[in-house]
Amino acid sequence: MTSMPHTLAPGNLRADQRLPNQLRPLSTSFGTLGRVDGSASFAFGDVQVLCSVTGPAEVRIRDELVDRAAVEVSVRSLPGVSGTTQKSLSALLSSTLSPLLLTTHHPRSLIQLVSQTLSSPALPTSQSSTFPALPISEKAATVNAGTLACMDAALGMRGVVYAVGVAVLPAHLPDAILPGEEEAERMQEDEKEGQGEEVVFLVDPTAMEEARALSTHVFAFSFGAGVGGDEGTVVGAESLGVFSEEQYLHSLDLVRTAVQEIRDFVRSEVEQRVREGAERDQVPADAKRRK
Amino acid sequence: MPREADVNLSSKAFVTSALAQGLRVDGRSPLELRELAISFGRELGNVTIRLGKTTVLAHTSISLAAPSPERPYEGTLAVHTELSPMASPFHDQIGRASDEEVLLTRMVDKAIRRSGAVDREALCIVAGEKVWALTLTLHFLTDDGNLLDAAVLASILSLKHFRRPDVTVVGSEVTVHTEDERVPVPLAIHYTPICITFAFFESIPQPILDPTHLETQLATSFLNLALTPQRELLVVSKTGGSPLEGDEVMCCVGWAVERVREVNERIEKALKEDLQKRVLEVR
Repeated sequence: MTSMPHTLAPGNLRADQRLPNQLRPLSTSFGTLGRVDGSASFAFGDVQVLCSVTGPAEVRIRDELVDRAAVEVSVRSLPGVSGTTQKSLSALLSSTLSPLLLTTHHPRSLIQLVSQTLSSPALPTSQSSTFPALPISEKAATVNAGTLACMDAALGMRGVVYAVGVAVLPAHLPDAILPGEEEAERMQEDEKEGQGEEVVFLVDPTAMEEARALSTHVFAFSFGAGVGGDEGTVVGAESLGVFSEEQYLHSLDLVRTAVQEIRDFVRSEVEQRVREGAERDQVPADAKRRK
Repeated sequence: MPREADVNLSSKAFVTSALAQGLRVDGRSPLELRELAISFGRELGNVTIRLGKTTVLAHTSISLAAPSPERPYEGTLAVHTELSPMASPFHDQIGRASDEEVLLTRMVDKAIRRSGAVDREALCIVAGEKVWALTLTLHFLTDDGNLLDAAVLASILSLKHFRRPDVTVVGSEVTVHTEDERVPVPLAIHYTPICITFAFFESIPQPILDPTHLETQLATSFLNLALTPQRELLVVSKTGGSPLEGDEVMCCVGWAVERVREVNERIEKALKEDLQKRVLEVR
């Protein structure tokens, strides 16, 4: 075996100059859509997802629940195909977010969430694949956008949920950017032989990093009184690949720290927004009173 | 959500009486377009068009495929449009497409795909074996009226912005080059279809251009014209009950030609500015 380059450059840096546990620059926007009750977008770098919320609104008789609001979640990705990957992400979003909404405040009504990926640079695939897997940062961004959109719609919530993805890569990688057939076979053999091989954990992976991963994980944490408090508790977990229990738990820990960063970031964004809104709404001191 | 409520009578009376005097609720003149904002995403082919508040996102992607046996020398272009409750809560997300959605999909299809704007023979790699299959997906983010014009604009901009991987063919062996090996190549596009929509109101002779959602609800018929900046008509579609004289249609075509010319200047400028910002050479 010839000596292979390390996944991380000297100084422990990734291809985009990040540290292994560093998130890409986060950005959010609120209230950009005109005809819905709430909307927000969340981005990890240039992976951006927009979510809209309408509700409480009129519900179709067949979906009506007598003691609470019905929650409808739909996920759309950029290429527009709607298959099992989108349904699965929709299930993740629904299962992590719905329990946090105070649906019993709005019986016999509908809360409708639609998530739309705005940007998600993927690797150019030379083989056409009908339902390509969604990048895990896109999944994480969808959960985050969902939470923010519900906040923007002023829905009663008992907590918030944030998610981040982690990719586990071998510490040494072959030269090819994308493993070809021969390389993939050799890598699989290497995997079987050396279970204890060195790995690196990359938080918030890019599509390129994810393509070379041995396993990928997305964890969602909820925060709020009774639903995780300030430290957060795991409410969603999706993993794909070959990994050990040790690797799994380490990934979980890394995400636990990362989501707190997201929580703090969102808090400061919302604070700023509320402050700006208050300044805007303030009546100027010299405004004349109506008679 | 169930059907949207009809416009209330006071609003209806206000809007129509203003129109009778040539005034529009948002202050525009009858033949004025709303403010057009064009933004490009990071990926080539990712374009968002904002026409006033109406927002449409277009995304182009490409993959290798076998050609259809009837047309072995042509690649394919598929246009996907899907209205979701994000655009307006009155669009059902479940399968069954409303009349409005069907009309919208068909018009976009006619203007972009069936008009032959994209050269499909240029998408052929190995005749009978391998061709490029283009997929254009439209996402409607906000519906404040006139989704069609915004959709056609977003579509053609996305196709013009998009770059496909370069290929080398030796015999019937195809090598697809990555972005790092060879600069991606633009699609062969013959002309730029741009759609202009007119709305007509009962007993008001002057039609308006680019109706908002409110104006759309009150209009009695619509005329959709897809043209090229070279003054060629691609698609003419008139829907709705009230009759239209031939002269009126020709008048609208004249106005549309003007608007199309202006819009085309805008989009060419935006494309040029964006492509200058991107580094498209091989390092």
